[in-house]
Amino acid sequence: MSIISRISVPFVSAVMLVTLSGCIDESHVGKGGSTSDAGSVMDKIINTPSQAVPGELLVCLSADAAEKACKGEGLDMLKCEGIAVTGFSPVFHVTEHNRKYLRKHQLDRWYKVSFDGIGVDCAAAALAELGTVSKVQYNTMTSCGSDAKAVRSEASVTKGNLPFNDEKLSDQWHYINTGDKTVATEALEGADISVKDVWSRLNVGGDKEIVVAILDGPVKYTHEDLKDNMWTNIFEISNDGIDNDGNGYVDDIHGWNFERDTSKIDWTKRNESGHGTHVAGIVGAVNNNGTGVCGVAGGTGNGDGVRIMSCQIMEGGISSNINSAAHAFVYAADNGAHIAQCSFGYQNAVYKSDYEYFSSYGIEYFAIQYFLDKERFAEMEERLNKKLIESGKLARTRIIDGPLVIFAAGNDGLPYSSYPGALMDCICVTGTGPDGLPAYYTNFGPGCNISAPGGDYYLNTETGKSQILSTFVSEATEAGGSDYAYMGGTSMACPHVSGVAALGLAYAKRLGKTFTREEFIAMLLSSVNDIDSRLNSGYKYLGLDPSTGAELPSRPYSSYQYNMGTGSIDAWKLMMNIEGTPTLCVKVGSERRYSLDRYFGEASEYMTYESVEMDRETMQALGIKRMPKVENGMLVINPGKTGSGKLTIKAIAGGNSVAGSMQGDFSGNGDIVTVPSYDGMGGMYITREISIISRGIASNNGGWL
Amino acid sequence: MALITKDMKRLLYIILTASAALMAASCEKAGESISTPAALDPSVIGEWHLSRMLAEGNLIEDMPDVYLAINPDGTFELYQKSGTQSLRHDRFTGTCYTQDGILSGVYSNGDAWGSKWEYVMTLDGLLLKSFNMLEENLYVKTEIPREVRINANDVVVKSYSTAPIL
Repeated sequence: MSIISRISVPFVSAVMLVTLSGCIDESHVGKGGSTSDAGSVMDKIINTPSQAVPGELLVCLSADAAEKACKGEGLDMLKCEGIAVTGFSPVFHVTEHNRKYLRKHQLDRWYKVSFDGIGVDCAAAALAELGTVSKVQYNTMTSCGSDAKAVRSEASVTKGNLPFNDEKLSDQWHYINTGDKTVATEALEGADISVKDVWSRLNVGGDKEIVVAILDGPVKYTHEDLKDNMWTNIFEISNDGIDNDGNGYVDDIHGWNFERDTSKIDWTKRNESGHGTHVAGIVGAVNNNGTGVCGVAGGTGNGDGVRIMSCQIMEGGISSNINSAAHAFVYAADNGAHIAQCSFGYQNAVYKSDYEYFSSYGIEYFAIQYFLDKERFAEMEERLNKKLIESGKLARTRIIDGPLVIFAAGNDGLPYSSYPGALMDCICVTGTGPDGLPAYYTNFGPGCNISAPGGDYYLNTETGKSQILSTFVSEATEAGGSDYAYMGGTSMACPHVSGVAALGLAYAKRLGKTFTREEFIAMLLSSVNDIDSRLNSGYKYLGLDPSTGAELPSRPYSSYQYNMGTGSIDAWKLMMNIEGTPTLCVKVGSERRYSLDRYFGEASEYMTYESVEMDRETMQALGIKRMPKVENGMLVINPGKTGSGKLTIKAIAGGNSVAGSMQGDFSGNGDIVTVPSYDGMGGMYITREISIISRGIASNNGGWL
Repeated sequence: MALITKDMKRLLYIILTASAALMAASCEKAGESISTPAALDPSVIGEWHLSRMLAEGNLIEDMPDVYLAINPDGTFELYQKSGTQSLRHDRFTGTCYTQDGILSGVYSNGDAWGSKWEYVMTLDGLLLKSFNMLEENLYVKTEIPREVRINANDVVVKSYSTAPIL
């Protein structure tokens, strides 16, 4: 079992140099390598040994060495004194289907090296000396974003006027918040994800074609309230010991256990936290089955819930490692996931920029890029559909041109998100309580894109009902043997957004609509309710310091203002955005300002806008002499003629800047990939195209009269 | 100063009484009694569908789909679908009144209508002309489809008091 170190060591070059000097002498020079000075050896080691898994390292081989490793010559290349290498295996399962894209993202050159008899930092130094090794990465532990105060759910009473008959739905304030004071004295009616009308008015609960990969602890796939929504690999025969579908995994029926690299997804280990099962339930617990809880996209009771793929990257306690996480991204990608739901990150948010994270976590960064690769996604869907048709099944519908990665922001209460969630390419979720306000644990600020209910333990420490109720693991040590429990954290907030995104994809499919990923993300991050206007005054109680037990000083709510992302996710608004957006009516003959709430969410006036674009032809047709602009969150436009056209507005979801990126052939194999370009952490660009009609009259609220 | 004789007083009384009777009669339908606020011309009451829009004399092809219900109690519901909206109308509500041939209104969020409208009943329907004469909307009397009403999305928009109002 992995040892978890909770001491965070800052990255200091001098410290690294001392460490290497202590480990390197001429006798440690590897075969095929040459003596290199301590500086260039250090360059190959891309992160620090802080929270590293002992006894193993990840190495990126040189291109030549990788070719030889494919032929089984790996161990010979790694012979050097002082290290007893006990294992050498590719991190990723390479198949004819994924080889091309693993190579594109440099993932085919990564191997896990296991060893005995030497500390991990000395082993890193020795391997870095080898000419066959281009990078060495410590296999760092990550943590999951939950405070893990699992509280057993007691018997609930189904109350009337609810869309589904699940007996515990009335305790899930995060879906339908009635302001019930038994949840919390401060509970606010409406402080939820606004999913009730989606379920009841639109009759949308999900779709079994939509696959959400849960990169987390194990999902208890036999759970009464999950089993009917589990993703099942229909091309694999259970327990026959054969990789029937040729995807590189044997007997992977509901996912894979990446911690142990085995098909056995295991929730029975000692100290199992139940975290993965809880997260999975928020996304897709079966709805309207008369039992248990509801999941955001758990269906309507007609077998139409989204499918949950268990990508187990944690075992026992609550930590994972880079190797497991990276591996899981590739598996989820290769096996059809639309969404990677990731409630984990690096403790204490030690990285402050996309570039810093990328420099230290190459394998994980590129694994995320592999998952997000649109070309790969299109080829995978084409291949999958061919197999489905050949099996006499219906092909999967193309709804979106690329998958989504959704992360928790982290629970350190810091004014920036943790990584990988803070990456520009990932949607990053902060947490709120039943009062609709920031929860005590949530990270906030740069890197955070949107918020969702994650619960707040301190709003009801007696019953814990102010946290999030979902499926749990009766085998776990916490929550007294119940299959349902309350937990809190950005871990719980994140799957609300994943679930809403999955609902949105289901609705788009029903309407026969397809979107680019950028369009869909723009709609998702614009489908929000305002939080910021409530954060002008007051203080947030932060609870107790977990290490000292002392009460933490309260934080002014103003610290969170404009820092929780675009606002609080609203599922109904997303569905309305998917149905379409109304024309913006503007008045001819005068310069006026117009609200962008319908296009960028309720807090549109607080967002940062990057640009407004309108083509020359439209400007001429509408008699617009100066390009429209956005000032103080309102569109300023002065058309001189009646008519219609379109304009495009680009804004930043979360913060006022976006980390830069650049494209290029960084591996030398001819593939163009995107990497962060400079130090910076920020939000995501979102772009909305708005139809404009210029008239003799215009109301402030968009009404026609 | 004009002297008001007893005969003139009597004549005035007759005229006022007749006017009141006439107003009462015009407000009644067979089998139904409707009382209207004094500030709402009964001719605008009903359910309407936008059938034609002229802007600066030009026919606008790409106009939204608009239904308007003006109720006897002076409230209104406006259903409009535009842009890429494919399935349902947005619903706006508020109050309206008429005065001297002008129809005016206020939305429920406190925003005034974008214009006051000169209204004229024509053979084709209710013609609204914007106060600045730049736009004409013709509404045909049409029962609002049930599915439009029940599927409508209630729009709640903040009122921006800092924005200039016509």
